[in-house]
Amino acid sequence: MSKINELILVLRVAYARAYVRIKGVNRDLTHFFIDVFLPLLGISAIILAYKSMGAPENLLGFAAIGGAMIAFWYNVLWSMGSQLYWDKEQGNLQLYIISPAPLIGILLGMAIGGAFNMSLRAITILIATSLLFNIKFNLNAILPAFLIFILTLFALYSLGMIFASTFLRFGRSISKINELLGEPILFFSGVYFPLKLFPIVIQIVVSIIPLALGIEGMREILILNKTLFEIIWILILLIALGIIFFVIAVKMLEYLEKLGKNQGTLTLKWD
Amino acid sequence: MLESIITINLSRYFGDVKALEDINIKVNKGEIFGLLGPNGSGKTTLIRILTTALLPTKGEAYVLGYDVKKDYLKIRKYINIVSGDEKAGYGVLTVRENLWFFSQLYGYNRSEGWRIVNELIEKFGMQEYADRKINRISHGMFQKYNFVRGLLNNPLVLFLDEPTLGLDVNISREIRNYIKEWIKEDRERTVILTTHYMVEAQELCDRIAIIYKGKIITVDTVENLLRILSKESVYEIKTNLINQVEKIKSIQGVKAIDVENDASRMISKIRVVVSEDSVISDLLSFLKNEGIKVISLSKEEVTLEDVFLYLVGRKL
Ligand SMILES: Nc1ncnc2c1ncn2[C@@H]1O[C@H](COP(=O)(O)OP(=O)(O)O)[C@@H](O)[C@H]1O
Ligand SMILES: [Mg+2]
Repeated sequence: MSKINELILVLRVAYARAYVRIKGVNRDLTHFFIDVFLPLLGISAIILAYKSMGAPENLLGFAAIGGAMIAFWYNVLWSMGSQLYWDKEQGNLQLYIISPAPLIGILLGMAIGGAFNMSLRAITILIATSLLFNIKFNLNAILPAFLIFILTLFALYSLGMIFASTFLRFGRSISKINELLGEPILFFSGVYFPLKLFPIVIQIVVSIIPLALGIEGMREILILNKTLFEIIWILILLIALGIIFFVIAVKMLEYLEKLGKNQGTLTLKWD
Repeated sequence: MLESIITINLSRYFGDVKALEDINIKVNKGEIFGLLGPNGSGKTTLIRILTTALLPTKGEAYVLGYDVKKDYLKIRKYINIVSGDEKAGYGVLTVRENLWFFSQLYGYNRSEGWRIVNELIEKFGMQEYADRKINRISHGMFQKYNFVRGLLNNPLVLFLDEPTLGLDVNISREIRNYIKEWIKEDRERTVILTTHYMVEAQELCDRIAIIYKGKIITVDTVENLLRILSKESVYEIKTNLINQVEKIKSIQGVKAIDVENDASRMISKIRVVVSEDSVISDLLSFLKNEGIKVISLSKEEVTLEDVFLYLVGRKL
C-alpha cells in the first residue's frame, strides 16, 4: 500500500467511525438534554453565587466558558479512554487489526465523533447561559475564538488517544488513575475562576493542560477583547501540545499492536 | 499456485503452554478445510496466526503466498474472519449501519460501501431486521449478520472459528448451506473452519485436520478418515455402572473405548473399537467375571467420532 492510499484509508475509516459515533449517540435525544441540562445547573449555581457577591461582570463569562468546556474533559478521559479497551472486550479490535485499516483511523474517528458531539452540547450550553444571564461575548472575535477552540480540541483529543492506548495496555486497573485525574485537572484548568489566581509556578505547570490553555485563550478573546496576536503563546503551545500528543499516541498504538501480536494480548480478554 | 495456505513447523507458545507445536499443513484453493479438536487444542491460536493477529513463536506460515510475519498488510485485504463467540459491532447501531461501518475498513468509498451492504442484505434475506439495532436481534440473526460481515471484502480466504457455536439447528443448517454455496461460487476461494461439532466437520469439510494439544494428529478426507477403521468394529454396550475402564483398555484387541456414566439410572454406555468381532467375547467374559450385568449390545456403523476416539484416545 502506498503512503497516499494508506492516508486515504485512514481518513475513510476515521470518517466512518465518526459518522457511526455521531449517529449512535444522537439517536436518543434525551441524552442530549441531560448532557446540556446538568452542566447548565452547575454553571448557573456558580454564576448566581458570583452575582450575589457582586463580582465583576467578566467572571460570569469566565464561568460560562469554563463550565461549557468541562464535558470535553470527561469525554476524553472516560469515553475516549475506554473505547479501545471496550472494543477489545467486544471482539471489534481483532477485526480492526486483521483488516487493512490502520488503527489510528479508528482512534481518529472516535476523537472527531466525540469532539463533534461534545461541541454541539458545549455551544448549546454557552448560548443558553448567555441568554439566561445576559452575558455578553465579543462576537466580533468569534473566528479567532473558534480557532483556539479547535486547537484545544485537537490537543485534548490527542491526549485522549494516549489515554485510549494506555487503557488498552493496562486494562481496567487504569480507571483508578482516571478517577484521580478527573477533578484535579478541572480544578487546575480553572473552569470556574481565572488562572491568574494561581501562583506563577502553577500557572506555568498547568499550561501543559490543553483544557486550561483553551479556556484561558477563549476568555481572553471573547471577554477581555484581546486579539489573537496578543495571546499567540497560547496558540503556539496548543499546536505544539497537539502535535506532541498526537505523535505519542501514534507511536504508542504502533508499539501496542506489535506487543499484542507478540504476546497475544490484543485478542485476549484478560480482565 | 495451488495452495492458499502453507505452514512449516509452525509453533506458538504462551509461556510454558505449547498452544501449537510443529504444525505442517497445506490447504488448497477451493477447499473447505476443517480443524477439528476439543477446546484448548489450539484451533483459535492457529487462526489468529493465519489472520495476522498473532505472531508465531517458531516456524513459518504463508497465506496466498504471503508471509504472515512480513507481508501481513498484503494478506489483510484478502481475508476475513467470523467467530461464533464474538459480539462484534456497536449495539446502538443497526445491522445495516454496522455492516457499512465494517465495509469502510476495506477501502470502499462511502456509496460503494452502502451498495455492497444493501446487496448482501438482500441476498441473505435480512431485510426484515436490517434496520434494527444489533443489540435488539436474536442470537441467530446476529450470527447471520456476523457471517455477512465476514463477506464484506469478498475475501479469498474466509476463516470461520466455530461459526455455529450455540446456534439452534435451523440457523446452523442455514449457515452451513451459505458456506457451501459461497465456496462453490468461485474456485479461488478457501474456507478454514474450526469446530468441535463432528457432524459439521463431516458435512462441510473436504479435508479435516484432527488437532489435539497443539499437534496435528492427522489430515485427510472424511472418507479416508473413516477408512482408518475399515478393519475394526465398533460396538455399543449398555451395562450397570462400571469403573473398570483402564482394565478394559488393556484387553488384547480393544483399540479405543469411551464410557458415559448415567449415575441417576445406574447405567454405563460403553462405546468400544475392537480389532475384530471375536474380541467382544473376551470383553463380555471380562464383564461377567467382574460381576457386571450387560443390558444390551449392538454392533454400530463406524463414525468419525470413533475415528477421533481411536486416534486421540478420548472423545471430542
Ligand atoms: N493469548 C493467550 N495467552 C495465553 N495463553 C493462551 C492465549 N491464547 C490461547 N492460549 C492457550 O493456548 C491453548 C490453545 O487455545 P486455543 O487456541 O484458544 O484453543 P481452541 O481454539 O482449540 O479451543 C489453550 O491452553 C489456551 O489457554
Ligand atoms: Mg477456539
